[in-house]
Amino acid sequence: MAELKYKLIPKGAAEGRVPVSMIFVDKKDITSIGLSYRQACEIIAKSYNGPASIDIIDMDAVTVSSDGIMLDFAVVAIASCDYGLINKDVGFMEISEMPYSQKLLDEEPHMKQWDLLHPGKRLYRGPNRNDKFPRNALDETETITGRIANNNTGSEVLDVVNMEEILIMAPGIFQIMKNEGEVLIGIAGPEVSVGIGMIVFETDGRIFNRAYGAGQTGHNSGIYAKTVKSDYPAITAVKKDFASYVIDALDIGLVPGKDLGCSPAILAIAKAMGYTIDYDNISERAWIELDSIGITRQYLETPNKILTREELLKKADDIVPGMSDGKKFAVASIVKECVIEL
Amino acid sequence: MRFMHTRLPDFLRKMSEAGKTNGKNIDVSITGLEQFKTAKLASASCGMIEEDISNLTKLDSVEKIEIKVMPQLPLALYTVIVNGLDKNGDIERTYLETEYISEPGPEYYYHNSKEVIDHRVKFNNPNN
Repeated sequence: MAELKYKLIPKGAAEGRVPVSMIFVDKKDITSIGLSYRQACEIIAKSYNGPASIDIIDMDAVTVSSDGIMLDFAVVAIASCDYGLINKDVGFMEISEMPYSQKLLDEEPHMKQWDLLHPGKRLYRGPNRNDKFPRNALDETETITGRIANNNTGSEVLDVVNMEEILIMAPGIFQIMKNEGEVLIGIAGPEVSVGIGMIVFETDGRIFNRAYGAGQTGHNSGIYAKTVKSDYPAITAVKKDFASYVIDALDIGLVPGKDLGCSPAILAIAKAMGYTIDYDNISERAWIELDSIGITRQYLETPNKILTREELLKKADDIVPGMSDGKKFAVASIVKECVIEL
Repeated sequence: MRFMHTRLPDFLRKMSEAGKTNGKNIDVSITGLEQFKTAKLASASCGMIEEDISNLTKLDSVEKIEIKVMPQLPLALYTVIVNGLDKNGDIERTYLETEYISEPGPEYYYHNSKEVIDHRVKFNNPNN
């Protein structure tokens, strides 16, 4: 008898910090039993019979965080389930593979990471126009069934009835899928709120399509950016794990503000390790948002002791800003492994 | 095209009158149109909804009819018009913004229904 396995982070997990249930499925656990992604979501929806997001993850592919850091996993389909159902029009969305092309590399400097750090890996970011149908090209990359919206290609889960929400930063999903180590769960706070707006230019990105470039702000909301998501719970990797990916990107010569987004986390790591930051390419609107959380150009240009990779990773909790009231939880303590007998 | 689209007040009246068919006098409440002061609604759809209501009045157990109107895609894109007015009510400056509103999927409103009959236009989604 075939089995469909999935990981559940139930509402109330992590000492009540998780407000909405989230389901994660390894692509291999679906393809190995001959199901389509949609079929798997419908089976899980029927079995779980409650409100939850569903993300299908390819652990052999790569994706990109909103600020331009490549991570070695990818979200390949998202869904929302409720009442045992997947809404047939907008409850499910598959993400198409992004083909390798010189045009892509020429237009998107942060994608040098693909060639130099993840050669040959399949890339998935956000949905393309066909994936989004029947949504319009400008609509959010979102699925909705019943009470649950799964937005920005799996990075925000919303209960649109009780209006609770949780952010799942891409490195957090990766850690959950590896089913090892720890994740950091807390309140996003002003630094993360500003940081998630500091995006890079991408065709069919996880959140935007060819909208803004490194050094610019997708939030574009002045001093209000720090409040945009600041009081929402968030899950991410512990800071040393995410910092390791940032350092890899900086090591190959990518410059924050020019090639990478100017998020507080990336700027803090670059400053601590003495990497170049393209201050002049950071837009005035982005500086307003950074200044509002105390990250001024003057502060960034102030000389500091240059740390090695090992030193930074050791001090990552102090150096990388973001997450108020963050607490580390063992992945095994918040994830419930579930099996459906088919 | 006067006869192709129904005026909003006529739509509201017709729905109410359809509750008074088949010897019944059932209250028909409508939500989801409160923000519309003026609008035209497709007449063919109007007639289909009237027939739905009339059919519901034939069911002995039905004592109330509730209509909820919502975008068929519950993740609609909205234009937000921000007007600053002077003391005379003239508009000094306008900002136009986009807002995305995610609302509950339609299942939220009928998930415990004993029978669902779906007459909506189909998207024919090639991804399904």
